[in-house]
Amino acid sequence: MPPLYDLTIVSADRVVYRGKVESLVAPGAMGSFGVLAHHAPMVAELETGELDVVAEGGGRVSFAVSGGLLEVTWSGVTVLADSAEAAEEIDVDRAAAAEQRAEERLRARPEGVDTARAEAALKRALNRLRVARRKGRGPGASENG
Amino acid sequence: MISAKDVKNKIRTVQSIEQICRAMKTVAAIRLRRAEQRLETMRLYAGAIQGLVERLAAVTQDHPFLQPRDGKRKAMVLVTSDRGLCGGYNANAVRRALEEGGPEQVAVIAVGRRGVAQMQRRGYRIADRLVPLGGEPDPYQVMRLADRIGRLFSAGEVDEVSAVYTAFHGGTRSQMRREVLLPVTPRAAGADASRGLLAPGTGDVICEPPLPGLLEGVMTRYLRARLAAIVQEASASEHAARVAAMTAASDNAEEMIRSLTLAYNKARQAGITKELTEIVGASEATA
Repeated sequence: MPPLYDLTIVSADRVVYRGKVESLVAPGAMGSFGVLAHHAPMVAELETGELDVVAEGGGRVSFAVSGGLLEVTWSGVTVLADSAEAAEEIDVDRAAAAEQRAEERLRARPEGVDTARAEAALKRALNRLRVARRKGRGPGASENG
Repeated sequence: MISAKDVKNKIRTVQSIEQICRAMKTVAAIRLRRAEQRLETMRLYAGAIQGLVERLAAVTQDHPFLQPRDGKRKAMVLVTSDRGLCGGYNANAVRRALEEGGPEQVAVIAVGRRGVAQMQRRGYRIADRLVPLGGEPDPYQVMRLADRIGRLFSAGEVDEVSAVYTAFHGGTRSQMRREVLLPVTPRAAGADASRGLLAPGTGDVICEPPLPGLLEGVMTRYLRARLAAIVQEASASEHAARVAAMTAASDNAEEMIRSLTLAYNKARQAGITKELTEIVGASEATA
């Protein structure tokens, strides 16, 4: 069995995930990167994207992350997410509604609309929808701990 | 002697006050429970980012937030509630805030209506505000305020930002706290390093994006988390203070109703006795 390390995914409003994992692939601001056990200390900025985790036993869990920081220390990995949801938790209807709203804002561009904010909202919504659609793939896709 | 009718009216008044107090207490208790839960995760998140910043600060100070300033212009974040009926919660915060210095030395960044009114009345400049704070602080508004505070500091308009707020200690216990938000002074940078990222003898951290680019994202989130944690501490304390104040008030009302009921019964009895005496007196006179 591959070596494990402790992973904590936390956002300001909740602990999203906590458990022993084999590896993860994170959406780094400079491109995706993977973390295995015994990785050297690192601090990375995350952008909106998909965080894939291979949990103890090989089960896969995907998370939709909307930006954040990831820190690798000798004692484990902590993801400080601006927001994060496991694929199973994503409210697809809400994300679809958010996508539509953001698109309308960008199309109409009325006075006073914060374009950057609308674009970020659109990106988050599309990311949630993509992660939600991919849930359950791979062997032994499991609930998060 | 006051009449039985007057006493009865008074009892009714106190009873309705008691009901209001109990209702407010119930609302505050529910909000306190929710605020406590949010505070718990907020502390975890803020603690994690605090550790990260301390470890990074041991390696670099290449960000405005990390550089000490010589200047003396101060701003103070003061967290109060919007409304009263929460005992000494606001008075204590304002008293502590006044110790920070006079209106010439300190500008106030007021979170909560009470702080705006109290400090303005004393001649302080309100540099920024978050009102109304509400029963459950809006994370987005708090985040925006944090970003404005960061810009204020980075632009060099202030040289130090402190925070005066009520920290929550569980139950109904809380305590005034004063912290320096900016510049960030890592508690003895390096002393903390050994337990985390920088194992003894290791000096390097992989940074993505490389320093100093990474620091912008880190420090922005750090200040947001610090401010959000502070506001959440204060919010929980506010609800706890309101629960305590409303418990005391409804207990007092109950006690008052008890003694008024006694007075009412006495007055009623006195009336009956008086009437009886008159009847007996009258019948004896005619006998």
